[in-house]
Amino acid sequence: MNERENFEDCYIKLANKIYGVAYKMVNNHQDALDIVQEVFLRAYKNWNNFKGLSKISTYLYRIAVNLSYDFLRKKNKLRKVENIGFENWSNLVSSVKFEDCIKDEEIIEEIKKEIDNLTEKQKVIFILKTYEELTYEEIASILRKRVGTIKATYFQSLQKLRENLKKKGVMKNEM
Amino acid sequence: MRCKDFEKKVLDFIDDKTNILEKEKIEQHIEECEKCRNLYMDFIFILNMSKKIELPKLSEDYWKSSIKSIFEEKNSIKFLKVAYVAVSFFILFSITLFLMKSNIYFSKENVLINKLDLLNHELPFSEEEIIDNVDYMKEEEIENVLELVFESF
Repeated sequence: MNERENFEDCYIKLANKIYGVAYKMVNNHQDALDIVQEVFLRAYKNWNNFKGLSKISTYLYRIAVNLSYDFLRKKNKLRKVENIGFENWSNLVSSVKFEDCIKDEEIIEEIKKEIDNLTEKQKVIFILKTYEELTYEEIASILRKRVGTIKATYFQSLQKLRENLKKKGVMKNEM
Repeated sequence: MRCKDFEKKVLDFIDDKTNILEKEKIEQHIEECEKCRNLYMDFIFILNMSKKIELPKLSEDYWKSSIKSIFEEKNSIKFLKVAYVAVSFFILFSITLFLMKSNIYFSKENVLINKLDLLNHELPFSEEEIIDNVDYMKEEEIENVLELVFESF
C-alpha cells in the first residue's frame, strides 16, 4: 500500500470520528467539515512521520481539538462584540421555567446548550469520553495531561451539567 | 463506604471498571445513601440523553469524494512553494545582476582609469576636484585615489 492509499484508508476510517468531535465542539456542520479538512491536510503533510494507526488517531484528535479551540476562541471574541448591551440575556434564558413533563427532544436540546456552556477543557473531555468512548488514558495522551486531571475534569463537567440542568428545571431538584 | 469515596469511584462504576468487591460496596452505598443515589442516577440520565444528540449523517461515499479536495489542496500548496522559490530566485538573480552592473564603476579597472584621469589633470588638484571625483567611490577606493594623489606630489 503506497502513501496515498494508506492515507485514504485512514481518512475513510477516521474522518467521521474527527467530524463527530469537531461538530460537538463547534456545533456547526460546515465549520466541523472545515476543521476535518484542515486536520487531514496537516496530517497528510506529515504522513511519513507516522507509525501505527493508534498514534495517528491520537494525533488527529489532538489537531481537531486544538483547531476547535481556536475556532471557539475566535467565535467567542465575535460573540463578545455582538453582545455588547445584552448582558442580561443569559439571565433571562436561565430564568425560564420548564414544565414538569418535557419531551426528550427538549431535554436533549437543553443538554446540548449546557455542553456548550462548559469550559473548553471540560467540553473536550466530556465529548471524547462520552461520544468517542475513549479511555481516560487515551484522552490524557491526546491532551497531554495526567489521567487524574482528566478524570477530575470529567467529573466536574458532569457535576456542572447536573447543576445547570436542575437550575433550568430539566432535572428534578434533588441534590 | 463514605460519600467522598463513592464520588471517587462512581465514574469507574459507570464504566463498569470496578472490581467485584468495589462494585458490591458501591451498590450497597447507592441503596443506603439517597444523595449519592441521586448523583449516580443523574449522571446516568445525562450520559444517556447526551448520547442521543445526533450528528448530521455523512456517508462513507461523502468522505471518499471529499478526500480529493485534500489532495488538490496539497498539490496547490506544492505548486505555490515551487512558484515561491522560482520567484525568489528570479528576484535574487535580478538584484545580483543590477549590483554587478552598478559595481562596474568601482571595479579595479575603473578605479585605475579614474586614477589615471586624476593623474592626467594638472597637479596639484584642488580640494574641490578631488571631492568631485571621489564622490561616487567607496571608502577604500577613495583612499586608493588619495594615496595616488599624494604619491604624485
